Amino acid sequence: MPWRWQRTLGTLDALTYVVFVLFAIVYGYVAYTAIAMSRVLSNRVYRNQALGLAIVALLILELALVGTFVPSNYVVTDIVNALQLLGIWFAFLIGFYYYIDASIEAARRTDPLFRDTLHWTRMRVGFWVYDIGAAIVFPIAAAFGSYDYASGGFPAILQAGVPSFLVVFSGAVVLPIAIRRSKDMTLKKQLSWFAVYMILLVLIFFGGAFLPAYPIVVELAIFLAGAYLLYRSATSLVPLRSFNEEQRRKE
Amino acid sequence: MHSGLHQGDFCLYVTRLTTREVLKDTKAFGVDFSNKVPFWIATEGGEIKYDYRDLTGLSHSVKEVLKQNGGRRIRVVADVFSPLLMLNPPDSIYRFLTQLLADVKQYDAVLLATLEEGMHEPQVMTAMQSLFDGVVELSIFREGGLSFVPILSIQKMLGMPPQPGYFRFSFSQNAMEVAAYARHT
Repeated sequence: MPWRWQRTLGTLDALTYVVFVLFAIVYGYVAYTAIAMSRVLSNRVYRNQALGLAIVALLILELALVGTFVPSNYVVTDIVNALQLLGIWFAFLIGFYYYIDASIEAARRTDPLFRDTLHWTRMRVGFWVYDIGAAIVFPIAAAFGSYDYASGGFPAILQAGVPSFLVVFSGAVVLPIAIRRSKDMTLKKQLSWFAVYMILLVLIFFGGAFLPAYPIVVELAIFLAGAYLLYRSATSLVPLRSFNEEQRRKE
Repeated sequence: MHSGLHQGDFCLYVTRLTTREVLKDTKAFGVDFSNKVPFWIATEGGEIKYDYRDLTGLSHSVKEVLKQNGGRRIRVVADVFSPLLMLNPPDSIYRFLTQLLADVKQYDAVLLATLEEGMHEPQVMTAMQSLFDGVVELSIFREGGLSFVPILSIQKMLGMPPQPGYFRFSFSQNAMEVAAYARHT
């Protein structure tokens, strides 16, 4: 994981900087592309999808930033805990959920039968209320030291379990059904690039539990390959044309 | 449609979406239908309910609405053809559209229909385009590696010489702005 880099590479040396700069360029370019796409798309739903992809790229960049520059032996105070919750945990959950929500809506609109998969149009409202409410309440509670997340129990379920479940349920259950119902090949292609990216992320984050230890350079290569997948996902939102191709077609 | 409403034209919107969704989408362009709204044939919230299973009913409803407003200038917008083409054989939609266009022409109305790229075979697109007097293509072009440009190109337009150029389009001030596109080299 990115936060392993600094620990593996030792001090904040030149190599760490090089790795971070490489990350910043690659993921920054992906985010830029997604934002540029969102500015030219006329359909609100596809615009939200592009924006969601930009958010995902920026969140990965944020992880790299934290992994590179935050010392591994930092002191966890209540404020740090609150910032972690808000800036990393809930930012990730809400960022991914935003993209998934926009994708389900895009899939619904391209379903010829216009089916509302698992009553998503109503369920999503409840999910959003919970996620945003939790992203406000828990960091505030953490900032005042009201409870200790590490001790687990019911608050931990409300803070970590439920929002994770909402994202996994919407992304792994509702979205695949909605995609299967959609007849838009462009959307399907776009979402399949993102699905492969998600598989890579899951491998990186949870692979350590069941895979043999692999060197940090492999992880870095996977992250950079992932950036390409995210980039392809952003540029597949609509069929893109180029003037050169058009010229060749006419000739 | 927005300018048509302000000019006092009768505007009919045939949509597979709900009216609330269409209004939300148009608001994202800066177009506000809150003062003057079109006549809706929609899945939900419209004057007439759109049912994708009933092509005859849809044809009849459109014809009736056109008949009732025969004395006015009429504009019709329809986004239902892509899903209808997915649910029915293309030849039946071709026949349906041929009849609908005949009705629309009878009342000297303008019909603007949309087809989604990426949902149909090229021959289906070509067949549908052949029915219309004009075909305008909206697409996104990649210019260099870093920028994307929304481009409008006129594939055909009755009574006009072929337009080989590209036009850049954007939405602002409640209207679509179109300008000749000069390619950066």
